[in-house]
Amino acid sequence: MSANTELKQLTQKRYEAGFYTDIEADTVPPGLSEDVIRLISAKKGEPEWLLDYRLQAYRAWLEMTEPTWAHVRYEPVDYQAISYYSAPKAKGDGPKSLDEVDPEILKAYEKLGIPIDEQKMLAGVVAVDAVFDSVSVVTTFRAKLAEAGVIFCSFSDAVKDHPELVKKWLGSVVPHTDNFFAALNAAVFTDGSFVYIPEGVRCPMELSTYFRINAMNTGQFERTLIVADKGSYVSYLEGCTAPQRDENQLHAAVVELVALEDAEIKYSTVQNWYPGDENGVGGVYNFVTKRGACRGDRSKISWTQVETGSAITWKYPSCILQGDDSVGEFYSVALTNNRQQADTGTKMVHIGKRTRSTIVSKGISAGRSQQTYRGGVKILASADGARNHTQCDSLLLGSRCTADTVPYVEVKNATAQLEHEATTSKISDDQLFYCLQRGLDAEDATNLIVNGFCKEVFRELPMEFAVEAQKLLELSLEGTVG
Amino acid sequence: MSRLTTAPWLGALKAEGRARFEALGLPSTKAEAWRYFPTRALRGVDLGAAGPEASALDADHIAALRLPGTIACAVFVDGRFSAERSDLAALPAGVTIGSLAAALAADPERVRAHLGAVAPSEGAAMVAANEAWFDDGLWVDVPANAAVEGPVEVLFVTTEAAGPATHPRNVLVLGRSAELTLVFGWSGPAGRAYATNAVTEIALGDNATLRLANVEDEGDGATHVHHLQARQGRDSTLKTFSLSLGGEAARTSVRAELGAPGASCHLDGLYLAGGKQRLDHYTEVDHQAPHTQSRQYYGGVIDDRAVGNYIGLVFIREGASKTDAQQLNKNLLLAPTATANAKPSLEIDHDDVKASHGTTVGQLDEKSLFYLLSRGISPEDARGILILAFAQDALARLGEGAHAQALVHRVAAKLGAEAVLEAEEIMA
Amino acid sequence: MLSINDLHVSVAGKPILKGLTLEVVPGEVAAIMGPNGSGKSTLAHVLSGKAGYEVTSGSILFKGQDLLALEAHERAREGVFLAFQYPVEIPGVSNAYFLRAAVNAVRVHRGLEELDAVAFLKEMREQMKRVKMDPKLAKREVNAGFSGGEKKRNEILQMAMLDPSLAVLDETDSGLDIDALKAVSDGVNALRGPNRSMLVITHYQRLLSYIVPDKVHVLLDGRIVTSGGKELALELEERGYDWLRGDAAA
Repeated sequence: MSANTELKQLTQKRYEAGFYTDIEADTVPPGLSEDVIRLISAKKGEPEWLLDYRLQAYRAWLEMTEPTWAHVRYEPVDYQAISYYSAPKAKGDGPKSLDEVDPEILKAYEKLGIPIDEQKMLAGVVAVDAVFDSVSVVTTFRAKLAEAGVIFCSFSDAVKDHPELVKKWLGSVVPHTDNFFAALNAAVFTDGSFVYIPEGVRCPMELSTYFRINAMNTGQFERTLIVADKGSYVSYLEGCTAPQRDENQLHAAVVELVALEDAEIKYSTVQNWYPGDENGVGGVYNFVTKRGACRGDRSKISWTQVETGSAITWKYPSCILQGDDSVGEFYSVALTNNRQQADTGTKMVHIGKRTRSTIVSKGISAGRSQQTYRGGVKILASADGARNHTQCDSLLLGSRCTADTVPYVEVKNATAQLEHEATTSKISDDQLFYCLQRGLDAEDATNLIVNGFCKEVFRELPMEFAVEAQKLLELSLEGTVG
Repeated sequence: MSRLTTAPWLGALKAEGRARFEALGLPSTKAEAWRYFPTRALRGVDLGAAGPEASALDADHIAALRLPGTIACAVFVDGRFSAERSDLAALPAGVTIGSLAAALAADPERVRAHLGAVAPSEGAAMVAANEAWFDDGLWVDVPANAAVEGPVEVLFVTTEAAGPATHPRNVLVLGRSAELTLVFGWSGPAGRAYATNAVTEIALGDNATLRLANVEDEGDGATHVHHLQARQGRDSTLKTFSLSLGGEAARTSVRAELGAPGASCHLDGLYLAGGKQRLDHYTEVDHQAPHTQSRQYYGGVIDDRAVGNYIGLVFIREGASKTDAQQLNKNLLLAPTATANAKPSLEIDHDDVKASHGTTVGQLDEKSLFYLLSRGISPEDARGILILAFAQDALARLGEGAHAQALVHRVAAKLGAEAVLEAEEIMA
Repeated sequence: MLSINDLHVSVAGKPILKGLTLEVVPGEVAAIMGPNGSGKSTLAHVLSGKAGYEVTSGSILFKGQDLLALEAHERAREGVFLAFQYPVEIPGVSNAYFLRAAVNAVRVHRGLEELDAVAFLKEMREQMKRVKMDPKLAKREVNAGFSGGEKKRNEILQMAMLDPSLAVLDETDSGLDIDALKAVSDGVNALRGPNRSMLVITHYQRLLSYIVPDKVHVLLDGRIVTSGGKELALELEERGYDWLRGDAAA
């Protein structure tokens, strides 16, 4: 009765990041060919080796077919109808400081609540790289980070300023032949973030990148590369939003992480691309390849993601545990509502001895959405004493959504120890009524229940973002029970 | 010669059991439920051979077996009730605990309502064999609202004089809101091949509570098969704990039918397998009604060339909404030659339920071991501490009381960790 | 306190309560007994405002106001407490956090100040002692992994903390062993008082040996068919309900 109506009213909340910023942009006409790739490369003033890398990837891509194994259905993407480059038109050579950034762009970030004005921030908690469509518009706190020896800049700047590092690590974790979308990205990627933490350095602040797709009919193909040298530590967060549009937008990113001996990378994502409307019109296709390599002994890579956006998600942040005693972690909250579809999970590949991995996946499906957890644990013969703990919980809101769990386990070493736990449950009328009967109103009750379900993952997020993630979840949930 | 009543219905039941067993034959490892259990040890054994009419057993023997903190004790020797060795004086008025054969003689219709009704022999070869050849067993009848305070012990002792196989048939009936705690103890001679094939049928009335600790500690040449099956009324609670220590090959299976709303069961267990032992646990929980709950926790500690098995099935039938089922099996392998087979499974025909299962197979944690060694603890004690800690996760489910504590000590002794346990108790 | 007059309630179009009339005065403990399907749980749910129950006619007055006009959470705030037959688990939410949210929602409604964490925890610990609840359960997730007895004790703890004027105990004794039943009953008895009424719905006479009612009402086929003192419960245990069926049909 009452609980449901109240909840329904709550659900009508709109996508708050759905605005469009009217700026002058330099956009390459739609279509993909070797000429387009040469044009992008030229616009970015890239060295010959990088152009060669792109062309190699493009030729590999032409030979590949789009994967169909994921549990998602969508209209085929016309790769010739997408524009592969859009950049806010720069005045002169591009902004040297925040003052030179187009005020419209600054306003856009302000509206999203993303701090890119160093002056207005509390003393250096988070450094931000803001990527607007295809290019990075500003990176804050570069000077302060440079004092510690940390390199944090846009991918384009890294190619110019640190070509030896980029050349050494680009494609070393996700080769350009890895999969269809990774190959496409390698061919046409335009910008992204680059991080290098030198040996023994604990990065003095959280690093973060905010991705924003603004232009129409534009694909976003960013590339992130993070290298943590021996004994270093970095915590990195990415956030993503896009305007509300009726057309689907393609986002095919690649993230590569490398952790050397005793290094630790904590990578957190709050993904809020436009999910489409309640009928499934519009929204971002989020086809992303994220992989970390624990190259060194005792290294650690931890993925934490809160996924509430995108019409279609195809994403499996993974860890290659090469170093002995290395550790991989994956903590995920994925929420799908309305007509969203998500096929997401992780893959842990155990190669080194005594490697350990933990997977905690929390899926929340509402409306008519469809969600699949796809998780792989692979223990190779060399991985003596490897351990994995997998916990995979699904929460269904309403009866028209679906949740599937597809675990793949491959064990080639008898000393491995694996634990797998899975649950599927419904946010039931019973739970709601129990809260109401104790005096809580319907909105508080729903938030209480869902936040409780996600608690294990939120605990892993950096403090400031945990609050943000919680709010985002509450927004995305509105009107889901009924 | 059977001392059982010769009522025609009973004769028919036994004849049917025999026909079914002959048609089915011994279970083979091709059957999913028996895939890890070596029934070949039973091949060639004359399961129907008559046992001795009466076996003698010293009172001292029983005294040595008895657990502290139990208020009464029923003793079965070679499958038959021994009034002489039993001690049932402390039972409250109206509560009957004793011989099935005697109950069949005294009130056959009362027994008939439950015997073979809770655990039918159809399709179940070993149950059928038991049905064909049982002479006696435990009869429990607790009337409505009667609560027996304190655990009652039931000892099943096999002697040197026993025939090749005994088939105790136990029938337990608890009325509405009745409550009882039982401890079964199975034992027999060392160095002798013999078989025990027991069946326990449990009928739980509405709101009744039965706790049953089943301690299998047979002789080292024994093949032990025990099937427990319960039919549970509304709001009833069944808690079984299967502790497996002895036997060459031992299997304890439990099937709980949660047939009415609010019924719940806890099926827990611990098995300590060493040498070439094969210890097998098989469970089936059948959620047939809404708001039913099941919890399972089985721990296995497996050493040498032994094999420990757990197969658990949970069915959630259409209409069993708000069911909550959990199933967990954890194994600790102490030797590279030890084997654990774990197969938990869920079959769910209804949504709006909560179900989970998990299984682990692992070795002692090297890091923890090293940590203890680095603090000066001897390697034996360090292993003892860790193994005991693992076992205690399961043993915590035995409940409270002196009998439970005594069982924890027996486990610690078998694990060579008694000194550790005593030290822990002093600290607590 | 509570006045139910000729109440008719349907679930999915099927009539369950068919003209139920019941009066509970302040301080009274009334037991409602009846066989399966007689409408006992329906009555508990209608009183507390659960969705899915259609009141087709009749009225319920609670402290003089129309109870049916209030939403479920408003009834709770006004002082109607339901101890659930099957207490619900809320994973990830601690028992203390949940109860504090509830207590403060109720307090604000009653014009009282919210309790801060310290004051709340102090009060909660005291009440937990009274129902013999393990203090560790305060930090555990609401009802998750609780035994049957712990869940029911938790209900009584919530009741003590929320200080209702009408407590409806829906089969609070079901599935409890003797020790748990005693602890729960002691907790309930401690909360009896001149300003609090209780409606004890049960299936089993055993409970009424521990919570001795002032009145016993028999609910059969959606109506109260007979009422009496506590000795009526014993008679029902002896004779069952069939001897009352003639009255129900009449």
